[in-house]
Amino acid sequence: MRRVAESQAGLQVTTAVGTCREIRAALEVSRPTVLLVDLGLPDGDGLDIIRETAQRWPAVLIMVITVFGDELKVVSSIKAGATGYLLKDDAAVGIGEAIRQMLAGGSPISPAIARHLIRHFRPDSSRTQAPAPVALTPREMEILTLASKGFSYSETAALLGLTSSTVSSYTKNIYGKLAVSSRSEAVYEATRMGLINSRS
Amino acid sequence: MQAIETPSVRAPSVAYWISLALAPFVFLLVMALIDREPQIDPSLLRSKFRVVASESEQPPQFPQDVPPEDFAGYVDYTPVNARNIASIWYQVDIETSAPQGDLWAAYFPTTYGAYSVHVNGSLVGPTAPLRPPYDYFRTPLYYEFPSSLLRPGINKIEVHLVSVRYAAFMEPFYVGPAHSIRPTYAYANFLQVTLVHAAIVAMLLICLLTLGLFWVRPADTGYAWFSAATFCWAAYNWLLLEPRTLIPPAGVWFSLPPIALGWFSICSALFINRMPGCGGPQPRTERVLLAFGVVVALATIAHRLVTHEISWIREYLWLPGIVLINAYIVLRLVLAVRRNPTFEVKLWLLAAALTLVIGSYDYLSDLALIPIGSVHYLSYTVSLVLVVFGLTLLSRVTRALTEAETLNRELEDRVAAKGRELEHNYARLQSLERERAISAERERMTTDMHDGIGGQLVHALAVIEGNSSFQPLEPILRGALDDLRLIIDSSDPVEGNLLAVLSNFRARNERRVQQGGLRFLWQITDLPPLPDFGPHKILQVLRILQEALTNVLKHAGASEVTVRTDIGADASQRAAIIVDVIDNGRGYAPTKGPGRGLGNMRRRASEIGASIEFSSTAAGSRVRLILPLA
Repeated sequence: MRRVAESQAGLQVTTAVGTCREIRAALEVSRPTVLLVDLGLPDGDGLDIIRETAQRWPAVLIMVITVFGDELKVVSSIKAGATGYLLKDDAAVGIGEAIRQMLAGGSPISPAIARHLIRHFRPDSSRTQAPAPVALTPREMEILTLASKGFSYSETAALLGLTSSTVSSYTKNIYGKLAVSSRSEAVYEATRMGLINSRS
Repeated sequence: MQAIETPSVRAPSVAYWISLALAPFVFLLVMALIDREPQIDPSLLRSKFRVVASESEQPPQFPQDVPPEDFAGYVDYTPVNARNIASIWYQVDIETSAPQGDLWAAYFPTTYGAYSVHVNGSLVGPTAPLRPPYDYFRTPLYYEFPSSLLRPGINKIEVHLVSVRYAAFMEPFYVGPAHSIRPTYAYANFLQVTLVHAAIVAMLLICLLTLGLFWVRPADTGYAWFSAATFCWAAYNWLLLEPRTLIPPAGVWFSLPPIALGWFSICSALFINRMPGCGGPQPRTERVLLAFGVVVALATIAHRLVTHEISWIREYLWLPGIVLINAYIVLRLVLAVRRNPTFEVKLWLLAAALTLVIGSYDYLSDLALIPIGSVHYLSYTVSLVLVVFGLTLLSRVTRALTEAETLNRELEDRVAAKGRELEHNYARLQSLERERAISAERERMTTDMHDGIGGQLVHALAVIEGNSSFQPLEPILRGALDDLRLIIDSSDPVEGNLLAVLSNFRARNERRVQQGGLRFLWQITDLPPLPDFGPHKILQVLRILQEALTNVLKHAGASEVTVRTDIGADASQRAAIIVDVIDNGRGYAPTKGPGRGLGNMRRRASEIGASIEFSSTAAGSRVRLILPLA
């Protein structure tokens, strides 16, 4: 992977490690632009690494590597703070493009994930919890809706009369809002359950 | 379960009927025993009077030339006055040599009005001479006086009696040393005043208690009638006991005792009719009873207002009527006992029969057809009977409460047990359902995997082992991975949303299409939900599309691949969703179809109730999947 990554222009692999412990140690030493992390690590959960990193070094872009790219894993990664994902078998061929895409804005939102986000942010949601504290703009909602119907970035941009890079930055915002809103939801839930005193 | 005391139901035996017949006599015997006052020296009984009718407050002049006569009952001294009140003076001669003891007394065991006693001209009781309005007594009277009033030789005792004319009886009375008279008076007073007062209090308590029961259970009108009966009875006794004034209109009070007594009987009859097992209300008879009660009561009052004559209404309407009503009650209870011989009904019949016999006895003694006792036994009988009834009513209530409590507890237990059973059954059903669902899902996945990834892996293994002709391994493994993704994607719940499935499919293949140098064109429309669109159907649709796309990438030599959706109809004109995969490549000859897995696609389509059409021209080819909407 290091070979593939470095063979493509502009990318340099600083560290390659195999366990949670090593990742934490490596992050202390070198502060990379991008962290590629697998969810299934031998000594822990990749989600914890994502959460820690997003909190301590918000500037580090986190990309999750997954075998199947299934909705559940990707969405929990985004909620933890990831802004992109990569299918494992694509890694060899598409890694450079994927990373550049993420640097430009965010990984493309797959239709399944877009549907999940729409459900999450829908204002008339029948959920009994408080409405998501972070709302999407109408434009962001439009982009999500088109994504959920299978339109690509460029098609979405054409349909909305935007440039691809604008769509890309909207996407990044959406990723961020999901992470924020899931953090506030966690706080809200904790407050409701009396774990946090809201007046303190 | 707590034992509930249930009334015994046994046919009344001969012994019961015999004891029923004997009970009144046993009661009379007992009353006669109780009613035995301490005997007073018969020489103290005074029954020879001189008599003068006079309205004077002080003793009048008695003709001393006539000796006192043996008094023989009622003497009509007419006319006395316009109000029909008799004011009569009696004089008794008492000869004493040396008076024994310090204190003497005059004692009237039976009274019918107001009495005053003068000894040798001095008033000894009551505190003032009699003057209007006069008090009317029915209770024993007893006045004490110092023996110093007496002198050796003949002493004159004068008694002034004021009463209504027809009741102006002077019964023989006692004058003598107090110590020989007082115990008798005390006993009589206890029997006729204290005991009756106690009974009145008890009756009022029972009255309130049963009224409360009626308040709580308004449907049980029997309680209301019983309450009314006890009230009438208490009123009757109180009216007899309290001194009443003789002067009208307060004299109307005289008419009240028979009214109270009559209504007591009527209420009792209505109450008995409403007791369980007693045959139920008899509306016609009851209307007659109520009408009788109202009419005769009004007649009694009216009669008392216009005349001071003795009320024949009491003697010839009320009392026989009451006896008849009691006979009716007894008859109803006899029928009830024959039909439904519970302990309670038997007890009530006993009580009613007792009342009937004692009441008749009192009535006959009133009419002087049999010897008059010192007291009317009916008071005691009825009080006893009412207490019995009150107790059985209370025991009914407590029994009903206990029963209700027990039933409630039992019901709660049963509901709880049923609840647990239901919960258990539900849990079992749920676990069965879950097991069934899991097993069905496992079967589906096994079939689906066998159909796709399984075969591809076996194929790859064969290539590695060199058993198969040379083939690159990479596309086989990539195909296996693709299929695994399809299986995972197909298990996403989409609620019939085909577009979600298609979009996912595109996202999965976008990169590959681009790497193949083709443009992916996306021409979709909004689609209605597909019915019953579960993982298996989704997987088949995905595999068909994957196969079609792979064919385009491998064989078509196209620059564009288009996925297009539409709403149309299938061959049998049912509404359907149409999905086209179109390329702009070189097309293929129909004979080459089988090599492109077209048969496989057709098989998958027919398996999920869809149909598939292939067409090919020199300008491209098209795979059309038709999914019916119903």
